[in-house]
Amino acid sequence: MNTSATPSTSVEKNRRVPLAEINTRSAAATAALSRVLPSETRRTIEEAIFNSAL
Amino acid sequence: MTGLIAFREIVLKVHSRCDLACDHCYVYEHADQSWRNKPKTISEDVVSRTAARLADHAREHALPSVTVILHGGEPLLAGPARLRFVFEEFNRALAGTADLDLRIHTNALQLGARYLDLFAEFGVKVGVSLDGDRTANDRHRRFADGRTSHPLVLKALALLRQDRYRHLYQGILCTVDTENDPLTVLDALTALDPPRIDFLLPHATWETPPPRPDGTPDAYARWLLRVFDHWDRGGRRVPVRIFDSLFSTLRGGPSLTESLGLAPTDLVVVETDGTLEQVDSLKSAFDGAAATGFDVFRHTFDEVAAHPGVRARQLGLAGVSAPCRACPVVRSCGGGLYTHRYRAANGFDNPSVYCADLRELVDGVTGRTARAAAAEYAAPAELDAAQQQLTRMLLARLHGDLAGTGGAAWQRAWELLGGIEAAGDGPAALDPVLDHPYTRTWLLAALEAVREGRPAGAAAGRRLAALAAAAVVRGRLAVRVPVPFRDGQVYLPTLGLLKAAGHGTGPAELRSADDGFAIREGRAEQHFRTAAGDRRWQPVRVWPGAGPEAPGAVLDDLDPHRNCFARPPRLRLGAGEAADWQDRLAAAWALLHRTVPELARQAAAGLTTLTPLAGGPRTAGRGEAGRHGPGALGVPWSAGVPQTALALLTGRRRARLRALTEVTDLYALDGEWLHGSPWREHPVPVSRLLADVHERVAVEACRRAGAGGPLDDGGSEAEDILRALDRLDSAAELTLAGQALVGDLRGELKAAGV
Repeated sequence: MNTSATPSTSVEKNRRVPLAEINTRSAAATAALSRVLPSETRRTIEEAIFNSAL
Repeated sequence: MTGLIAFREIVLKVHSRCDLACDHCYVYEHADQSWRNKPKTISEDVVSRTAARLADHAREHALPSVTVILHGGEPLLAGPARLRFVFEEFNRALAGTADLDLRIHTNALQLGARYLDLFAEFGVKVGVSLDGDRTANDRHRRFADGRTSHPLVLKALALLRQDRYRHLYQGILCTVDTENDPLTVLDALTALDPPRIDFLLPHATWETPPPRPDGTPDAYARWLLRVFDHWDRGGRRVPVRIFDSLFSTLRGGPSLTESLGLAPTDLVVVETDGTLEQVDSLKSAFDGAAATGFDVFRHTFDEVAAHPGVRARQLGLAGVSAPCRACPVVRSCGGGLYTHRYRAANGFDNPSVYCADLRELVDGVTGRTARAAAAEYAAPAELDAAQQQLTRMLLARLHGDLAGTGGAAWQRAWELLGGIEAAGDGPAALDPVLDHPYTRTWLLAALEAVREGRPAGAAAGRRLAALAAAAVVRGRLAVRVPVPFRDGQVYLPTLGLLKAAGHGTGPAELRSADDGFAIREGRAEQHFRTAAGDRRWQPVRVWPGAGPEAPGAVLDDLDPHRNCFARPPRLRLGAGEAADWQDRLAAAWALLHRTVPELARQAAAGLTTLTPLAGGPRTAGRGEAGRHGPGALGVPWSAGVPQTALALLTGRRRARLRALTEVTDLYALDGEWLHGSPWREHPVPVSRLLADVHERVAVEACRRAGAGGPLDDGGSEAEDILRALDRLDSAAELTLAGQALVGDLRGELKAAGV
């Protein structure tokens, strides 16, 4: 595809995840989507919480 | 059994004795003495049975992973052969069922290459107990004959830090003693380069309170806050679990340790003889406090999960005492570690024996992080970026959820978008179309349709194709795209409504042209100028505004998805109607700017799209925020100038708050508490109270600044607003961002002269 404009800055390109590569099932994505999608359940962070070990 | 919380952590006591004699140990030195009756080493039989039970449990609850923490006593005393058996048996039992996360927590006295090679073979993560530098560590962690253990631990940690074992190094646990210098302790632990640290309050109850050498009720909090400040000044080099847990809960997230917050305890302890116990810190409360009566030979994990003692630590807010439920820091504190609440007279239904410390710790970390959080939450550039990312995520989610049901039209448009995005100036062409507020409306509606099993693919494919076409026109991209007419027309988002030449049933193709675009249908091609309407093309009107006080916007009376407000939208305005409306908008903005210039600027910021709504103005003349992306506002077309001004102000307030809640957490556990509201008949969740106050502050400011003028309705809600703000100040639901917003609202009210 040809365009007539100048390319975006590399900084901006680095920040942008292409649409096709966006992971919408990660914990972060689920947390973000749960604010607008009523059916989305935020997954709790599955950290071990036992006090006497890490 | 239903409603059970599955165990995700198994604490496996592989040895019941220890080669150290720490005088603060909850296993040997506190109320429970059951260790005396336990076999020293876990048997192969118990190991196999436990692994089998765990596998059954994981299958039944479809657990993706489980964590097994080898503990004791001192687990290394079980010997490498027994430990190898444990690793092999659990791997065998869990294979194909759930991922196995193996960990061991040790005093490290015997931690050498022989053990570390074994742990490396099975990927076992190693955590170590150490209370600081030698002086601090020697205070409690000595051999029975009084010898120091410090050099041996350091030697083990040096080995663990080597490149070949580094990936196994889980971190260091330090028990707090307020007689140790907190800065020296933190420096000593940090020097050992752990991936994480945690600080534990020594186990204590109301019956056996913790030592307080200086007699103050908050000595532990002050000690931890000195650690925090030193850690913060040093660049926060090593994550500290107790602080990370507070950061998480203060932002509305879950707690990260059972010693803080309301996260359910999902662990069970397996003793060396196979008996199943509740979390073993209960041993500090009374003899037998952790017992359940169950064992791995005769009982399933589900039976233990149903034990009332286990359930009691999974109830969240309902599981803490009444004073805790009423406390503003309960989401972060959670009443502290369960054991620390024990009082012989009434069990665990009490605040923690560390209550004053925990309150001060939470308040202290809040105070130290509030400013950064406040700066974060309302930074316009950050919010814009977060909203854009949300829209892109919703689009990506729709693509996934459609799972091919969008057909060839969706797939072609999706690939086209990918191509546009990858092209040099493609994002500049695509982003305004994605950021169009009714793109969000479309995405939410389409996702809802898919979720409800309604056919959504065809319509979604058409809208996505239209979106791609709009991007091609905006960016003057050299690509031809199909035009998805439906019922003889298509709306190109942010541009306008195009009618087909004929019935619109044949294929049609769009390409960009010099000042617009061209449509080919069959053999005929027709050019259209984007900004100029004709028989087939109705562009959205772009109102340039009326000077700096009246910002322009797109007047969108065409997008079919603009029907997202409480009231229906007007149909396409005639030229005269549009001109009249623009005059009223200009006058309304001017009135707002004269009356409340700061609030007017805030209302104007980010406004991109105005949609005229049908019907007369409501009595209150309030504006509407609908289910759209940021930047849109629905305004009754027929409202007079003062009503339009109020609609602009209140509608943008509502939209601003909504946009905030979509990308940040202003509160958590909304609805767990209900608050009396001066404006509602029944108590309301904090979200409702906050929304009401947020809007009414702006209206009150308008009244006062425009006293006697068209924006003064003669009432005053100042007292009610102040009372509501006081309620919000002590609301446990508010996160740091929510508290910052409440602070801003107080500031606005003060600026308005209240």
